[in-house]
Amino acid sequence: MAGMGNGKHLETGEPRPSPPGNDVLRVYGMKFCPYVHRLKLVLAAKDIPHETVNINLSKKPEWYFDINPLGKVPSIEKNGIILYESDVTSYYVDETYAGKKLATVDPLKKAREQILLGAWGNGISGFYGYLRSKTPEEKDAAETKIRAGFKAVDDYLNNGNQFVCGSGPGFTDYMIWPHLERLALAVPSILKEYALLQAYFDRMGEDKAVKACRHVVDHYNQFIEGYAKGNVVYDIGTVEAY
Amino acid sequence: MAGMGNAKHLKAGDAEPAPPAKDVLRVYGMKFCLYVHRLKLVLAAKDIKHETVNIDLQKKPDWFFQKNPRGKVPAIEKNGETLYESDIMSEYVDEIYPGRRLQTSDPLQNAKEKLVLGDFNEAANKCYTLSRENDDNKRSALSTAIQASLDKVEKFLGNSPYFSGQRPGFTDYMIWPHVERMLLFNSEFIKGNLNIASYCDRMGNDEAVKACRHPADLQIQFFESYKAGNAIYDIGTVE
Repeated sequence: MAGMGNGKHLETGEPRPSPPGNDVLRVYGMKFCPYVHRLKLVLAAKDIPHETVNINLSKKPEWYFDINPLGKVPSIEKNGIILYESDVTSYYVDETYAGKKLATVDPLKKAREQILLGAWGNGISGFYGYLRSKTPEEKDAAETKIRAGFKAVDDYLNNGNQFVCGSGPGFTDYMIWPHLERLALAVPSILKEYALLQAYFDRMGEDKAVKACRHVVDHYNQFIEGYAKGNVVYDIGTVEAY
Repeated sequence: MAGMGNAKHLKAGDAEPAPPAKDVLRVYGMKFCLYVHRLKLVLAAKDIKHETVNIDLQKKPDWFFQKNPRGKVPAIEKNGETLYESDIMSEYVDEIYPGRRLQTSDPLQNAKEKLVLGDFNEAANKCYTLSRENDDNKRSALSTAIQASLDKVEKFLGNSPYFSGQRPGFTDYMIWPHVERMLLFNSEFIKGNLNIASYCDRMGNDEAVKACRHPADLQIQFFESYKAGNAIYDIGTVE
């Protein structure tokens, strides 16, 4: 299983790799990016073969803006087609590759999951607020947001379902997971306040896609340390040349 | 055609209306809200019958937070279910009501439409910032950024008469409320982009667009009051 990919993070001045071979799906990613993580979970859950080119987001190679004018990851490239944005690319691969469809089809359930994902945005912004907080007030404000995000998912799970998408993990579970995994490392005691969410977190930990893409905690902590200091190191752990 | 709805905007202290009758779709809206406008266009394009309850967004009635905990419009209510967020509800009504399906089913086209919608939203949101910005340097930086997003939109429309293909579809109705306001308040960005300009002419003939369009003077009157920090909602016919 490819996981998050160990390719060296290409930076300014490094040449653009040649296009992927015919019918080969390429992901432009960053090993510790939660948005890339979303797409990688969908790829792992559907067992979709792909290659990964990692991008140094602090020193982006010039050519990367030809792939994604916004300069963000993830992007995908296949047979000359280029798409970006984690939700758009994840949905696209779910729809175009064979295997169990991960996205919920029932219109009402789908709408409710999308509303939940919007409410989970509190958890996401709380996560970044927490990482950047410099004063106790900023930390409190971030924790309030994190709790709002946690509560939304906890409430949603109060219907007997094991997962947001029902009896098994689905598309929305994989959109929520990357920030939840990171928050569980950042604020484990807050997570414990939400019993259904904590149990959900533990169940998700057994999922094969979640396992395949999970960080080595030491590596992740190293990354976050660099991020907090404003001096991000991307190539942590195994690094492979292309 | 119901258009944007002319009902008085209910405010704090006004009684909660009785729930909608069985199988009746109710929209909680605001006559000049561009997000309500999105949903209304989808309802008009599919000729979906509904009733409208308008909400005074500056003095929201307490009971409205039971419909949408975020207190935003639009929200919908039908047979005891409530939903909110314009794009989510618009997709939902497109999927559950019969008639021409407005969303694109081809995965690649669908993905491309979502990206161009993102580009347009980016440009439109900066236009709203621009309308409140007085610093010349910041105005100029905003204009450059708006045009950069519109360059991508312009390119997209170079290949296709509508965002959704040969006919107006879901993405057109998500984008149009922004376009209509840009035509009134930032028309230089429309006139300067030929593909977008001719798109506006084509969309102006669409039945759903016509049904939901306000007279320009009402829209301007609303926007002026909004900018002044004292939005007047009940403008034009009030029922």
